[in-house]
Amino acid sequence: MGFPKIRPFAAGPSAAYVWTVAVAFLLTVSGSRVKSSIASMVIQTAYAPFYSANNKIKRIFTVYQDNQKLLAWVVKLTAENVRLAEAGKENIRLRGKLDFKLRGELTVIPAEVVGSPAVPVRGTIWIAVGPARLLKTGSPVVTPDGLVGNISRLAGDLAIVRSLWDRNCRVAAIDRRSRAAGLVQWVSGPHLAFNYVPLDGDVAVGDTIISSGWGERYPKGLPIGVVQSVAVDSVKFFLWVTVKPFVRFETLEEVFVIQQPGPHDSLEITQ
Amino acid sequence: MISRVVRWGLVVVSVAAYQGLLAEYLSPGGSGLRWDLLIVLLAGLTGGTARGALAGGIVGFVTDCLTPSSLGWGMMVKATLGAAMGMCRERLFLEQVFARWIILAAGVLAHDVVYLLPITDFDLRLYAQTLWLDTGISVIVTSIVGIGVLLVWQAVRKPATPVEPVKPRSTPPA
Repeated sequence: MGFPKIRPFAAGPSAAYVWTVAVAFLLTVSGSRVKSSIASMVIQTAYAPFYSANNKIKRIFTVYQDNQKLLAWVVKLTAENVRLAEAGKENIRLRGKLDFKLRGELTVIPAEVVGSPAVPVRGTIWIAVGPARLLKTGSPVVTPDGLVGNISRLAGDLAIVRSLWDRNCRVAAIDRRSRAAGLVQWVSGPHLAFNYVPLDGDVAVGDTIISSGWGERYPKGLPIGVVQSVAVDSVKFFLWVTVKPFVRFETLEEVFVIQQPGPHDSLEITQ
Repeated sequence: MISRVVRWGLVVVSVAAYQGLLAEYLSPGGSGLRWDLLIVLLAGLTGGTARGALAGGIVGFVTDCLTPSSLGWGMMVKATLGAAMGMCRERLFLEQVFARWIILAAGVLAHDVVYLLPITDFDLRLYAQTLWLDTGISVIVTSIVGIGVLLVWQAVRKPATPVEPVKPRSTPPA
Protein backbone atom coordinates (compact mmCIF):
# COMPACT_ATOMS: atom_id res chain seq x y z
CA MET A 1 0.00 0.00 0.00
CA GLY A 2 1.61 3.25 -1.13
CA PHE A 3 0.93 6.89 -0.39
CA PRO A 4 -1.90 8.42 -2.39
CA LYS A 5 -0.60 10.65 -5.18
CA ILE A 6 -1.65 14.28 -5.05
CA ARG A 7 -2.31 15.50 -8.59
CA PRO A 8 -4.09 18.85 -8.34
CA PHE A 9 -4.74 19.27 -12.05
CA ALA A 10 -5.78 15.70 -12.79
CA ALA A 11 -9.43 16.28 -11.93
CA GLY A 12 -9.95 18.88 -14.64
CA PRO A 13 -10.03 22.62 -15.10
CA SER A 14 -12.20 23.36 -12.09
CA ALA A 15 -9.71 21.57 -9.80
CA ALA A 16 -6.90 23.74 -11.19
CA TYR A 17 -8.94 26.83 -10.38
CA VAL A 18 -9.87 25.62 -6.90
CA TRP A 19 -6.23 24.81 -6.03
CA THR A 20 -4.98 28.16 -7.30
CA VAL A 21 -7.63 30.09 -5.38
CA ALA A 22 -6.96 28.00 -2.26
CA VAL A 23 -3.26 28.95 -2.38
CA ALA A 24 -4.20 32.60 -3.01
CA PHE A 25 -6.59 32.54 -0.05
CA LEU A 26 -3.89 31.13 2.23
CA LEU A 27 -1.55 33.94 1.14
CA THR A 28 -4.28 36.54 1.70
CA VAL A 29 -4.94 35.46 5.28
CA SER A 30 -1.27 34.95 6.19
CA GLY A 31 0.47 37.47 8.44
CA SER A 32 2.25 40.57 7.21
CA ARG A 33 5.68 39.16 8.13
CA VAL A 34 5.09 36.07 5.99
CA LYS A 35 3.83 38.24 3.13
CA SER A 36 6.82 40.58 3.36
CA SER A 37 9.30 37.67 3.45
CA ILE A 38 7.75 36.02 0.38
CA ALA A 39 7.52 39.34 -1.48
CA SER A 40 11.11 40.33 -0.71
CA MET A 41 12.32 36.93 -1.98
CA VAL A 42 10.47 37.41 -5.29
CA ILE A 43 11.56 41.05 -5.61
CA GLN A 44 15.21 40.10 -5.09
CA THR A 45 15.13 37.23 -7.58
CA ALA A 46 12.70 38.35 -10.28
CA TYR A 47 12.37 42.13 -10.22
CA ALA A 48 15.66 43.55 -8.91
CA PRO A 49 17.73 42.76 -12.07
CA PHE A 50 15.22 44.56 -14.30
CA TYR A 51 14.82 47.59 -12.06
CA SER A 52 18.58 47.83 -11.75
CA ALA A 53 18.99 47.59 -15.56
CA ASN A 54 16.32 50.24 -16.04
CA ASN A 55 18.06 52.62 -13.64
CA LYS A 56 21.42 52.07 -15.37
CA ILE A 57 19.93 52.76 -18.81
CA LYS A 58 18.27 55.92 -17.54
CA ARG A 59 21.49 57.10 -15.93
CA ILE A 60 23.40 56.70 -19.19
CA PHE A 61 20.88 58.86 -21.01
CA THR A 62 20.64 61.54 -18.35
CA VAL A 63 24.26 61.79 -17.21
CA TYR A 64 25.15 64.80 -19.41
CA GLN A 65 22.06 66.79 -18.48
CA ASP A 66 22.55 65.90 -14.82
CA ASN A 67 26.15 67.04 -15.02
CA GLN A 68 25.17 70.43 -16.45
CA LYS A 69 22.48 70.84 -13.85
CA LEU A 70 24.83 69.86 -11.03
CA LEU A 71 27.53 72.27 -12.19
CA ALA A 72 25.00 75.09 -12.04
CA TRP A 73 23.99 73.90 -8.58
CA VAL A 74 27.61 73.79 -7.41
CA VAL A 75 28.15 77.43 -8.38
CA LYS A 76 24.90 78.48 -6.72
CA LEU A 77 25.54 76.43 -3.58
CA THR A 78 29.12 77.63 -3.21
CA ALA A 79 27.87 81.20 -2.95
CA GLU A 80 25.07 80.07 -0.65
CA ASN A 81 27.55 78.14 1.48
CA VAL A 82 29.67 81.20 2.13
CA ARG A 83 26.60 83.11 3.23
CA LEU A 84 25.34 80.25 5.41
CA ALA A 85 28.73 79.69 7.01
CA GLU A 86 28.62 83.27 8.25
CA ALA A 87 25.02 82.83 9.39
CA GLY A 88 25.97 79.55 11.11
CA LYS A 89 28.75 81.20 13.08
CA GLU A 90 26.38 83.94 14.08
CA ASN A 91 23.76 81.34 15.05
CA ILE A 92 26.23 79.44 17.26
CA ARG A 93 27.29 82.66 18.91
CA LEU A 94 23.69 83.71 19.59
CA ARG A 95 22.67 80.24 20.75
CA GLY A 96 25.57 80.28 23.15
CA LYS A 97 24.34 83.57 24.53
CA LEU A 98 20.79 82.20 24.91
CA ASP A 99 22.07 78.88 26.34
CA PHE A 100 20.34 76.75 23.62
CA LYS A 101 21.38 73.14 22.89
CA LEU A 102 23.38 72.62 19.68
CA ARG A 103 21.71 70.54 16.95
CA GLY A 104 23.30 67.29 15.81
CA GLU A 105 24.70 66.32 12.41
CA LEU A 106 22.55 64.10 10.22
CA THR A 107 23.88 61.20 8.18
CA VAL A 108 22.10 60.38 4.93
CA ILE A 109 22.53 57.13 3.00
CA PRO A 110 21.73 57.04 -0.73
CA ALA A 111 19.47 54.22 -1.89
CA GLU A 112 18.10 53.09 -5.22
CA VAL A 113 14.38 52.56 -5.81
CA VAL A 114 14.01 49.01 -7.08
CA GLY A 115 10.27 48.57 -7.07
CA SER A 116 6.93 50.22 -6.73
CA PRO A 117 3.46 48.76 -6.92
CA ALA A 118 1.91 47.86 -10.25
CA VAL A 119 -1.39 49.44 -9.31
CA PRO A 120 -2.08 53.17 -9.34
CA VAL A 121 -2.54 53.40 -5.58
CA ARG A 122 0.93 53.37 -4.13
CA GLY A 123 1.74 53.09 -0.46
CA THR A 124 4.85 50.93 -0.61
CA ILE A 125 8.22 51.46 -2.28
CA TRP A 126 11.14 49.03 -2.37
CA ILE A 127 14.65 50.43 -2.08
CA ALA A 128 18.07 48.80 -2.29
CA VAL A 129 20.18 50.11 0.56
CA GLY A 130 23.19 47.86 0.04
CA PRO A 131 24.84 45.53 2.54
CA ALA A 132 26.30 46.47 5.91
CA ARG A 133 24.08 49.52 6.27
CA LEU A 134 23.12 50.17 9.84
CA LEU A 135 19.53 51.17 9.23
CA LYS A 136 16.61 50.84 11.57
CA THR A 137 12.95 50.50 10.84
CA GLY A 138 11.34 53.91 11.13
CA SER A 139 14.30 55.74 9.56
CA PRO A 140 13.03 58.68 7.48
CA VAL A 141 13.42 58.50 3.68
CA VAL A 142 13.78 61.71 1.70
CA THR A 143 14.69 63.13 -1.70
CA PRO A 144 16.05 66.60 -2.43
CA ASP A 145 12.41 67.58 -3.05
CA GLY A 146 11.15 66.49 0.34
CA LEU A 147 9.90 63.70 2.56
CA VAL A 148 9.05 60.30 1.04
CA GLY A 149 8.15 58.25 4.14
CA ASN A 150 9.91 55.88 6.51
CA ILE A 151 11.33 52.37 6.48
CA SER A 152 8.73 49.88 7.60
CA ARG A 153 10.75 46.70 7.16
CA LEU A 154 14.29 45.59 6.30
CA ALA A 155 14.77 42.48 4.18
CA GLY A 156 18.44 41.79 3.43
CA ASP A 157 19.77 44.43 1.06
CA LEU A 158 16.26 45.72 0.45
CA ALA A 159 14.01 47.88 2.56
CA ILE A 160 10.28 48.49 2.33
CA VAL A 161 9.43 52.18 2.55
CA ARG A 162 6.05 53.16 3.92
CA SER A 163 5.36 56.26 1.85
CA LEU A 164 3.22 59.28 2.69
CA TRP A 165 0.42 57.59 0.70
CA ASP A 166 0.17 54.89 3.35
CA ARG A 167 -2.56 55.49 5.92
CA ASN A 168 -0.20 54.39 8.70
CA CYS A 169 2.40 57.03 7.83
CA ARG A 170 1.77 60.13 9.96
CA VAL A 171 4.11 63.08 10.22
CA ALA A 172 4.04 65.82 12.84
CA ALA A 173 4.24 68.99 10.78
CA ILE A 174 4.06 72.77 10.85
CA ASP A 175 3.25 75.54 8.42
CA ARG A 176 6.60 77.11 7.51
CA ARG A 177 5.14 80.63 7.40
CA SER A 178 2.79 80.74 10.39
CA ARG A 179 4.20 77.76 12.40
CA ALA A 180 0.65 76.36 12.81
CA ALA A 181 1.05 72.73 13.86
CA GLY A 182 -0.80 69.59 12.78
CA LEU A 183 -0.40 66.05 11.56
CA VAL A 184 0.14 65.14 7.89
CA GLN A 185 -1.34 61.84 6.74
CA TRP A 186 -3.12 60.41 3.73
CA VAL A 187 -6.82 59.86 4.34
CA SER A 188 -8.30 59.60 0.86
CA GLY A 189 -8.19 61.26 -2.52
CA PRO A 190 -5.29 62.62 -4.52
CA HIS A 191 -3.83 64.85 -1.77
CA LEU A 192 -2.48 64.47 1.75
CA ALA A 193 -4.35 65.92 4.70
CA PHE A 194 -2.87 68.35 7.25
CA ASN A 195 -5.05 67.35 10.19
CA TYR A 196 -5.70 68.66 13.69
CA VAL A 197 -5.00 72.31 12.89
CA PRO A 198 -7.23 74.39 15.20
CA LEU A 199 -9.94 76.52 13.60
CA ASP A 200 -7.99 79.69 14.40
CA GLY A 201 -4.79 78.24 12.89
CA ASP A 202 -3.22 80.48 10.27
CA VAL A 203 -2.91 78.25 7.18
CA ALA A 204 -3.29 79.64 3.66
CA VAL A 205 -3.26 78.15 0.19
CA GLY A 206 0.31 78.07 -1.15
CA ASP A 207 1.96 77.69 2.29
CA THR A 208 4.75 75.15 2.62
CA ILE A 209 4.27 72.38 5.16
CA ILE A 210 7.43 71.01 6.81
CA SER A 211 8.08 68.35 9.44
CA SER A 212 8.05 69.77 12.97
CA GLY A 213 10.41 67.22 14.52
CA TRP A 214 7.99 66.74 17.43
CA GLY A 215 7.35 63.06 16.80
CA GLU A 216 11.11 62.38 17.12
CA ARG A 217 10.93 60.14 14.05
CA TYR A 218 11.45 62.83 11.40
CA PRO A 219 13.97 65.62 11.81
CA LYS A 220 12.65 69.16 11.83
CA GLY A 221 12.43 71.06 8.56
CA LEU A 222 11.83 68.35 5.95
CA PRO A 223 9.59 69.81 3.24
CA ILE A 224 6.40 67.78 2.83
CA GLY A 225 4.18 69.69 0.44
CA VAL A 226 2.25 72.80 -0.43
CA VAL A 227 -1.24 73.65 0.83
CA GLN A 228 -3.87 73.15 -1.87
CA SER A 229 -7.08 74.02 -0.05
CA VAL A 230 -8.28 75.07 3.40
CA ALA A 231 -11.79 74.40 4.70
CA VAL A 232 -13.56 73.80 8.00
CA ASP A 233 -13.71 70.13 8.99
CA SER A 234 -17.13 68.45 9.16
CA VAL A 235 -16.85 68.06 12.94
CA LYS A 236 -15.93 71.77 13.15
CA PHE A 237 -13.11 71.43 15.65
CA PHE A 238 -10.28 71.63 13.15
CA LEU A 239 -9.42 73.01 9.74
CA TRP A 240 -9.54 70.61 6.78
CA VAL A 241 -6.30 71.28 4.90
CA THR A 242 -5.19 69.36 1.81
CA VAL A 243 -1.52 69.24 0.88
CA LYS A 244 0.09 68.36 -2.44
CA PRO A 245 3.38 66.57 -1.70
CA PHE A 246 6.59 67.92 -3.21
CA VAL A 247 7.87 64.43 -4.02
CA ARG A 248 6.61 62.92 -7.28
CA PHE A 249 6.22 59.31 -6.20
CA GLU A 250 5.62 57.91 -9.67
CA THR A 251 9.08 59.00 -10.91
CA LEU A 252 11.21 58.15 -7.89
CA GLU A 253 14.61 56.72 -8.79
CA GLU A 254 16.93 57.58 -5.93
CA VAL A 255 16.16 58.39 -2.34
CA PHE A 256 18.16 59.09 0.81
CA VAL A 257 17.69 57.38 4.14
CA ILE A 258 18.37 59.53 7.18
CA GLN A 259 20.01 57.57 9.94
CA GLN A 260 17.68 57.62 12.90
CA PRO A 261 18.02 61.14 14.29
CA GLY A 262 18.09 62.17 17.88
CA PRO A 263 15.27 64.20 19.41
CA HIS A 264 16.90 67.57 18.70
CA ASP A 265 18.23 67.00 15.17
CA SER A 266 17.20 69.40 12.45
CA LEU A 267 17.55 69.60 8.69
CA GLU A 268 16.55 72.26 6.20
CA ILE A 269 16.31 71.34 2.54
CA THR A 270 16.08 74.38 0.27
CA GLN A 271 13.26 74.22 -2.27
CA MET B 1 7.24 18.69 -17.98
CA ILE B 2 10.45 20.71 -18.55
CA SER B 3 8.84 22.66 -21.38
CA ARG B 4 5.94 23.55 -19.06
CA VAL B 5 8.32 24.80 -16.37
CA VAL B 6 10.21 26.82 -18.99
CA ARG B 7 6.94 28.23 -20.34
CA TRP B 8 5.70 29.40 -16.93
CA GLY B 9 9.19 30.65 -16.10
CA LEU B 10 9.08 32.79 -19.22
CA VAL B 11 5.71 34.15 -18.11
CA VAL B 12 7.22 35.18 -14.76
CA VAL B 13 10.27 36.73 -16.43
CA SER B 14 8.15 38.62 -18.95
CA VAL B 15 5.94 40.07 -16.20
CA ALA B 16 8.98 41.06 -14.11
CA ALA B 17 10.74 42.51 -17.17
CA TYR B 18 7.69 44.52 -18.15
CA GLN B 19 7.19 45.90 -14.63
CA GLY B 20 10.89 46.61 -14.19
CA LEU B 21 11.76 48.04 -17.59
CA LEU B 22 8.75 49.08 -19.62
CA ALA B 23 5.77 49.74 -17.33
CA GLU B 24 7.17 53.16 -16.44
CA TYR B 25 6.86 54.25 -20.09
CA LEU B 26 3.97 52.14 -21.41
CA SER B 27 1.79 52.19 -18.31
CA PRO B 28 2.62 55.30 -16.26
CA GLY B 29 0.78 55.20 -12.96
CA GLY B 30 -0.97 51.98 -13.93
CA SER B 31 -2.89 53.48 -16.86
CA GLY B 32 -1.83 52.04 -20.19
CA LEU B 33 -0.82 48.60 -21.33
CA ARG B 34 -1.34 46.04 -18.54
CA TRP B 35 0.93 43.24 -19.68
CA ASP B 36 0.18 41.07 -16.64
CA LEU B 37 -3.56 41.18 -17.32
CA LEU B 38 -3.01 40.59 -21.01
CA ILE B 39 -1.12 37.35 -20.32
CA VAL B 40 -3.93 36.09 -18.09
CA LEU B 41 -6.64 37.02 -20.60
CA LEU B 42 -4.81 35.47 -23.54
CA ALA B 43 -3.92 32.33 -21.59
CA GLY B 44 -7.60 31.86 -20.77
CA LEU B 45 -8.81 32.66 -24.27
CA THR B 46 -6.31 30.39 -26.02
CA GLY B 47 -5.63 27.69 -23.44
CA GLY B 48 -8.91 27.16 -21.61
CA THR B 49 -10.02 27.27 -17.99
CA ALA B 50 -7.17 25.36 -16.33
CA ARG B 51 -4.42 27.21 -18.15
CA GLY B 52 -6.18 30.54 -17.59
CA ALA B 53 -6.53 29.90 -13.85
CA LEU B 54 -2.91 28.81 -13.56
CA ALA B 55 -1.65 31.82 -15.54
CA GLY B 56 -3.80 34.08 -13.37
CA GLY B 57 -2.41 32.51 -10.22
CA ILE B 58 1.23 32.82 -11.28
CA VAL B 59 0.97 36.31 -12.75
CA GLY B 60 -1.14 37.49 -9.80
CA PHE B 61 1.42 36.16 -7.33
CA VAL B 62 4.33 37.86 -9.11
CA THR B 63 2.58 41.25 -9.37
CA ASP B 64 1.21 41.03 -5.82
CA CYS B 65 4.77 40.87 -4.51
CA LEU B 66 5.15 44.56 -5.37
CA THR B 67 2.47 45.37 -2.78
CA PRO B 68 3.03 42.78 -0.02
CA SER B 69 0.03 43.94 2.00
CA SER B 70 -2.32 42.70 -0.74
CA LEU B 71 -0.40 39.48 -1.47
CA GLY B 72 -2.88 36.78 -2.49
CA TRP B 73 -5.77 39.06 -3.39
CA GLY B 74 -4.52 39.88 -6.88
CA MET B 75 -3.68 36.20 -7.36
CA MET B 76 -7.24 35.23 -6.47
CA VAL B 77 -8.81 37.83 -8.76
CA LYS B 78 -6.53 37.06 -11.69
CA ALA B 79 -7.01 33.29 -11.33
CA THR B 80 -10.77 33.84 -11.42
CA LEU B 81 -10.38 36.10 -14.44
CA GLY B 82 -8.23 33.55 -16.26
CA ALA B 83 -10.72 30.77 -15.52
CA ALA B 84 -13.61 32.98 -16.65
CA MET B 85 -11.80 33.72 -19.92
CA GLY B 86 -11.31 29.98 -20.41
CA MET B 87 -15.01 29.41 -19.85
CA CYS B 88 -15.81 32.15 -22.38
CA ARG B 89 -13.62 30.38 -24.89
CA GLU B 90 -15.34 27.05 -24.25
CA ARG B 91 -18.92 28.30 -24.13
CA LEU B 92 -19.11 31.35 -26.38
CA PHE B 93 -18.65 31.69 -30.12
CA LEU B 94 -15.66 34.04 -30.35
CA GLU B 95 -14.59 33.84 -33.96
CA GLN B 96 -15.19 37.50 -34.78
CA VAL B 97 -12.46 39.99 -33.87
CA PHE B 98 -15.01 42.39 -32.39
CA ALA B 99 -16.38 39.71 -30.05
CA ARG B 100 -12.88 38.98 -28.79
CA TRP B 101 -12.14 42.66 -28.33
CA ILE B 102 -15.28 43.03 -26.23
CA ILE B 103 -14.30 40.05 -24.09
CA LEU B 104 -10.76 41.37 -23.56
CA ALA B 105 -12.01 44.86 -22.67
CA ALA B 106 -14.62 43.40 -20.30
CA GLY B 107 -11.92 41.27 -18.70
CA VAL B 108 -9.67 44.25 -17.90
CA LEU B 109 -12.62 46.26 -16.60
CA ALA B 110 -13.96 43.39 -14.47
CA HIS B 111 -10.49 42.84 -12.98
CA ASP B 112 -10.07 46.45 -11.88
CA VAL B 113 -13.66 46.75 -10.63
CA VAL B 114 -13.08 43.84 -8.24
CA TYR B 115 -9.38 44.23 -7.52
CA LEU B 116 -9.24 47.94 -6.68
CA LEU B 117 -12.05 47.95 -4.12
CA PRO B 118 -10.02 46.59 -1.15
CA ILE B 119 -6.81 48.12 -2.52
CA THR B 120 -8.37 51.59 -2.13
CA ASP B 121 -9.55 50.65 1.38
CA PHE B 122 -13.17 50.82 0.19
CA ASP B 123 -12.78 54.57 -0.23
CA LEU B 124 -15.41 55.02 -2.92
CA ARG B 125 -14.15 58.43 -4.01
CA LEU B 126 -10.63 57.22 -4.64
CA TYR B 127 -11.99 53.98 -6.11
CA ALA B 128 -14.17 55.82 -8.62
CA GLN B 129 -11.37 58.22 -9.45
CA THR B 130 -8.87 55.41 -10.08
CA LEU B 131 -11.38 53.50 -12.17
CA TRP B 132 -12.27 56.55 -14.22
CA LEU B 133 -8.76 57.85 -14.84
CA ASP B 134 -6.55 54.76 -14.98
CA THR B 135 -8.75 51.80 -15.81
CA GLY B 136 -10.46 53.53 -18.74
CA ILE B 137 -7.19 53.98 -20.61
CA SER B 138 -5.99 50.50 -19.61
CA VAL B 139 -9.16 48.90 -20.97
CA ILE B 140 -8.75 50.49 -24.38
CA VAL B 141 -4.98 50.04 -24.76
CA THR B 142 -4.80 46.51 -23.34
CA SER B 143 -7.72 45.19 -25.37
CA ILE B 144 -6.39 46.64 -28.64
CA VAL B 145 -2.90 45.25 -28.03
CA GLY B 146 -4.53 41.95 -27.02
CA ILE B 147 -6.41 41.70 -30.30
CA GLY B 148 -3.17 42.41 -32.17
CA VAL B 149 -1.33 39.69 -30.26
CA LEU B 150 -4.19 37.23 -30.84
CA LEU B 151 -4.20 37.88 -34.61
CA VAL B 152 -0.41 37.48 -34.84
CA TRP B 153 -0.58 34.32 -32.76
CA GLN B 154 -3.26 32.86 -35.01
CA ALA B 155 -1.29 33.73 -38.14
CA VAL B 156 1.85 32.10 -36.73
CA ARG B 157 0.00 28.96 -35.68
CA LYS B 158 -1.63 28.41 -39.09
CA PRO B 159 -0.23 25.30 -40.85
CA ALA B 160 2.41 26.18 -43.46
CA THR B 161 1.04 23.84 -46.11
CA PRO B 162 -2.65 23.99 -46.94
CA VAL B 163 -4.61 20.90 -46.09
CA GLU B 164 -5.65 19.03 -49.19
CA PRO B 165 -9.40 18.75 -49.67
CA VAL B 166 -10.83 15.29 -49.17
CA LYS B 167 -11.65 13.67 -52.48
CA PRO B 168 -15.26 12.49 -52.82
CA ARG B 169 -15.58 8.77 -52.68
CA SER B 170 -16.38 7.11 -55.96
CA THR B 171 -19.80 5.57 -55.92
CA PRO B 172 -19.64 1.80 -55.50
CA PRO B 173 -20.65 -0.24 -58.50
CA ALA B 174 -24.24 -1.25 -58.44
